Amino acid sequence: MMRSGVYLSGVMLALGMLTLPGCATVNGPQGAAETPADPLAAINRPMFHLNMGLYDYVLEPVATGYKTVTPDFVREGVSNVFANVDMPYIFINDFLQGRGQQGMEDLSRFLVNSVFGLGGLFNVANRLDLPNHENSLGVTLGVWGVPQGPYLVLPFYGPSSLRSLPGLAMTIFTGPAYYLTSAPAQYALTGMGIINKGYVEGPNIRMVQDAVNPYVFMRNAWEQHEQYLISGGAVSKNQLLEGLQLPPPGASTPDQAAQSHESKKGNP
Amino acid sequence: MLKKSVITLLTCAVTGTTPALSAAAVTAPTASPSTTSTAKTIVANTPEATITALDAALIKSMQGGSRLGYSGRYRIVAPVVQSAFDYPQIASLTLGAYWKKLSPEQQKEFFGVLADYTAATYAARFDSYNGERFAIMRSETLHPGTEGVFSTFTEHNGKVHRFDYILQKQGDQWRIVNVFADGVSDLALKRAEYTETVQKKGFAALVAHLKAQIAGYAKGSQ
Repeated sequence: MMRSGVYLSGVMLALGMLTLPGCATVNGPQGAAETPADPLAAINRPMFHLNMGLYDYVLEPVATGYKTVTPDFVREGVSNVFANVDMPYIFINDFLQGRGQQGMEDLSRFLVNSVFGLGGLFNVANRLDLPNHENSLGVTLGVWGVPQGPYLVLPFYGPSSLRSLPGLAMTIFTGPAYYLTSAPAQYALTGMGIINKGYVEGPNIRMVQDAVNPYVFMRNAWEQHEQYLISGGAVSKNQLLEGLQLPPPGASTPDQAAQSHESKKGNP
Repeated sequence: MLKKSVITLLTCAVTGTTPALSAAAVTAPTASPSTTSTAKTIVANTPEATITALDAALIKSMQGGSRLGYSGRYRIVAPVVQSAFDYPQIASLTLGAYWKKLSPEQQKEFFGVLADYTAATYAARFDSYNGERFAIMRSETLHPGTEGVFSTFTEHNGKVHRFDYILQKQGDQWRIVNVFADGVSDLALKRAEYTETVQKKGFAALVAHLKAQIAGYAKGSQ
């Protein structure tokens, strides 16, 4: 039974997640282009297109059917339950990163929703202003100083990196499917998780597909967001100003800077 | 519904330099008093005023939802979005060295399409309302003539997203030149995407894609 639990969790991981978990670029506007940051592009690109095809022809139709046959409150409840069972993975990583307050908020969120929200069916924590954070083992390893390694697009799962791979195993052991002893229950949970994921993540995936260059968009967005999570949400002034045309000292606006530049050209 | 990742904000006050903060929030009229606006005075021609106007338009678009339809939401959002962003600046930064190779007509065409694309994207994605709210947390002078306005967008499920706006003054109005959504720089994304597309497929293909996307939003959105 335990083996089938692992198998089902793996399948759930695999099939469930064409998602766009968080992300981050260290490179900023210029560095985002291609090469050294993406040495596995030759493998990643076909994998990315395979995943998008799976979404278009499998996950999206299933999610559309799910939306058609279920009322809003049912989808909301299911989504709440699956968000709640993800919380142990999140607060364990909060604590591993030494982010105590965030960890306590996420632990509290999990307990409140589990107890007062009937196993997570209702999002009671939201009414208590307990924020909902993102986290992963890949972020934890980043906080500990482990470099990202090459960017990877995993089949079914989506954007990742060498550093994030151990997190996939951790999600299995912190998820409920692994601990179920009934195979039918595991199948039901896995199937529902996949459908819910398709429904919840649909808007994000469509946003990627709408991009001018979906592969480049997703890689850069993932890498930048990952870095953001590692830094604990801190964005430095240099990052904020990166790639901008800044007025030189003395010119308080880009307009004045341009005028100053033009007058210099006219009067060398 | 503006769903998770791409969103924007709103709100209020103060002069235009230095750390000026106050949490002002833009929410629906029915939101609870604890989360609604803290009655800030919005000073015209400040970075906060630009973001406030944008967020108010987005909330209105979301509340209009399917009742207004895409075209109705576009009419609300487009005028605000067109004036809130500095499109010539964004266009030149996005295309980098390639920008100078374009003729003035091509440059004008590109930032015009970019402006329309931005408005269409907002109108398509901010299409329903379920209690979401924007709030400006603080603002800060990042460099002389460049301001940061730091805000949040809270989803109905309690998930809070950060939107950091970078604005520069053009004439007498502060306009957005970049947005960081949860740490992701819109300018960096566009630059990576667009430069590769221009290099591999050409400028005309980039413009054609953006126009097709605008048409797709108009056709596919309710």
